[in-house]
Amino acid sequence: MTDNPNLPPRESGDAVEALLGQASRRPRPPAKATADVRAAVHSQWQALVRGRRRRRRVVAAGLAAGLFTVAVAVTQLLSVDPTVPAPVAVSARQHGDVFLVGNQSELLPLSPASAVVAGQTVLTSSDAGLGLDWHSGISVRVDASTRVEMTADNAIYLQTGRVYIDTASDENAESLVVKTDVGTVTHVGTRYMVTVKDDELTVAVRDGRVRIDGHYHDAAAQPGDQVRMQGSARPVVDRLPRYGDTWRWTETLAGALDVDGRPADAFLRWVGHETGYRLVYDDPATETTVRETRLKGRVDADPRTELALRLMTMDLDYEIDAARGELRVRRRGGDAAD
Amino acid sequence: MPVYIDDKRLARRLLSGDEQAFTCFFDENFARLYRFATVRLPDDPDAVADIVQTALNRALAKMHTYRAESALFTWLCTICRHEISDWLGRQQRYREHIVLAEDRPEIRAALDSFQAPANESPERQYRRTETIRLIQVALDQLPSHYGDVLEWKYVEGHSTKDIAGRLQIGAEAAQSLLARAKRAFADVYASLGATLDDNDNRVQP
Repeated sequence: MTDNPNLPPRESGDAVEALLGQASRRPRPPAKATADVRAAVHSQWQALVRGRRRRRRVVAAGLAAGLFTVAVAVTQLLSVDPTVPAPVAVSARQHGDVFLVGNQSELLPLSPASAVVAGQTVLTSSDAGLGLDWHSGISVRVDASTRVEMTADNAIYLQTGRVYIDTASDENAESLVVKTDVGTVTHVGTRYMVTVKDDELTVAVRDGRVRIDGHYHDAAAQPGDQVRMQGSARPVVDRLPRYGDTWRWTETLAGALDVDGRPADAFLRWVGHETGYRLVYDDPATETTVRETRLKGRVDADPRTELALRLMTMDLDYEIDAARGELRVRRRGGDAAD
Repeated sequence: MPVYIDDKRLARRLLSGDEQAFTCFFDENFARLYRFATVRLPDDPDAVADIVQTALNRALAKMHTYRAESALFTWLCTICRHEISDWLGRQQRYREHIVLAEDRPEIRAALDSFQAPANESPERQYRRTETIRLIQVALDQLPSHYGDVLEWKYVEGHSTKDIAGRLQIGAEAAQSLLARAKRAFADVYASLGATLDDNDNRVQP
């Protein structure tokens, strides 16, 4: 262990003691900083615990519903302290100026990793973005220039701007309803984007199915559909690829991915998932290489940056074929382009 | 792959809302994490406190994902490192728009000329400082109580009896704890110190 002659010989207590004798006491954080951080972190932790307990109670109520539906539901309602709103989400990633709208309509900066509770409204500036980890496992991403209220633990009210919903990380995640002034959007295990601009509601679907209950018309959307609704006009359905510039902003708000010990294939599938491109291996040997390569660490940058960085360290090249919507991966030696 | 049972147990207790677990979590990790951030952002104590607070909040929010395949403190350091990196990125964007007078080359040169010469060679001074820093880093990397007892005993000079009293354990148990802590320290320091130059840090037994 201690081949290096600099280091204290193993089992040599005197050497360790001599070494430690050179050191000074480790610096202590200032008492005020310690007290402030302890109070803030403790408060945040308590909010998280309350949220978990509340969800657990709701799940327990669901299991018992067959016999005691009414009684349990009443108990649940009574057991929740109405003066303490439950956190519905945690800020997992953000950039630019992101605010919570206070009781007096004042803007309070939202700190990273903060909880957002039911009833709070989030506002993003023109160059900002916010990725929320919803309590039920859904990823909710809020684009720039957006105002959205977290109305309940299963609903948001998009007043203006754009949000992206991804339930793919948890297929059993509870549904999240997106309410707007034009209509209400509900989904079944999907990824989709909702935009409210002026009086127009636009819903673009990447995966799964989405239903829109408009004030005048209803519509259903499939993958690749983009539905536009405005006033009493009939909904207009266009086709929109599941990749491309319209979706690009969502990539910068993708949550971190722990890839430590996992095959490179899992990472590449995540890149495909986030960018919308279909992952294609040029040949079976490439696929074998990718499946057998194990990664280290954590992915924390946006998918395209991580893709470029990670593949530099492997014997692989990639090419994004925008015309076909494909992310092509091959062993090094072929043509590579972005 | 090792599993850090005690840390995993602490994570479970935190998830269940155990107040004692929070106290343990904070007391064992805050000061160490603060030092971890301080050496990376030595000129900005306010930012250090903010970053450590954000890192701890993030860790608690993500505690259900902690798999105990690394020590809890190592996991916290990873999160903290990301927070520092994000913060530096934001600062860089900010600083790109600011040119401080003292950063202009001609003024920088003038300021540098006022600095007094050091009594010992800069390299030797650096090595000594670095050795002390590495000892402190190694102490922080140990399980919290190991680092504490070594510091009490060999840095602050407390007796084994004092340490036993402080930990409310017997003198023999304290002696045994110190022995285990020293062995663990030697291992950790060996891995950290591998980057140091041979002669400057040779330990004379």
